[in-house]
Amino acid sequence: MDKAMERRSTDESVERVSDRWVVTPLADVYENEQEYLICADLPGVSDDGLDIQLDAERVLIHGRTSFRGEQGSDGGGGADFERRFMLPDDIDREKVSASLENGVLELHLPKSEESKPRRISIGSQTRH
Amino acid sequence: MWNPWSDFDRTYSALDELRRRMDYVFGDLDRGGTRAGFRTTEWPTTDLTDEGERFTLQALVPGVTEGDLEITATADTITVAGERKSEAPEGYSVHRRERPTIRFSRSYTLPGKIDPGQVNASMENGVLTIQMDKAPESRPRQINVKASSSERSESKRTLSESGASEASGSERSESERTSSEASASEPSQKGA
Repeated sequence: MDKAMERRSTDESVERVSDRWVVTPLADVYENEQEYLICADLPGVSDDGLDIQLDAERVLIHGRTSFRGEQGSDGGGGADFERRFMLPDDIDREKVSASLENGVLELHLPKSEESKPRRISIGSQTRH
Repeated sequence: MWNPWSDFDRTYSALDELRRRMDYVFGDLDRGGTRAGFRTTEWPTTDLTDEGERFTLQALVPGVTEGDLEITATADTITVAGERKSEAPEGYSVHRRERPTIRFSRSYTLPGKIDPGQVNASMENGVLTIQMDKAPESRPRQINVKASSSERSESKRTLSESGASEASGSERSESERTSSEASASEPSQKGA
């Protein structure tokens, strides 16, 4: 179901080749008339270390950070991070954009034109 | 109105929460640490390392800019204070909110004296790095071990002595066995 979950639930006696952690970044999700906006804390992540994938119904945010935190002086390690969200149907996939600033990801998921609310102006007509 | 995000929440929030808790438990028990990006007790998550000539502190401060930070140093403490602002953008409705605004102040007692005038801080990708040059008295000093020739030969002799005593010990036990075998075979010889 979920990679991180699978990895956790495997037999403890079977060791993974790489001893990296999988962390779940904290995220906010917002919406307005134009778009959905996902903001996620990704400290220590550079553009190269981040991969965002859209499939039919989900968006996957994953990658690697060099920093794990509170690890003492044993050093090394780093962590993989991963977060998935179900996508609403009304996304315009071609216009999805992302930016990474100060360790915060902003993922913009614009709504498709037909799903945006349209203001209908009421014309007054004079009958002859 | 149908809300895809809260729909997702209802279905998966329990599992999500379970995974977080498992991460937390396993993370703490197995590795004795907390996870990056996952707020447990203290914010920000920090590493402090001793690099010989200096201490280096790294803290995860996503969403914090240089202007939001206040760093103060004394001879043996460093304090990082500031605010991580996180507000819902204007005109947006909120579906999910896990990143709060955080005011923080965290002080660290350093394991040695530093020169407070030689502290440099930089920010990259939401990671704060503070480098603190150690005061001369806390810097590691290489101590050369002098080996005098008389001591070395003495220790050699002790080694060979102990080796000899061990060898003689095993010889002795062997000779004892031989003698007891001999004494055991004596009567049979007599009888024959």
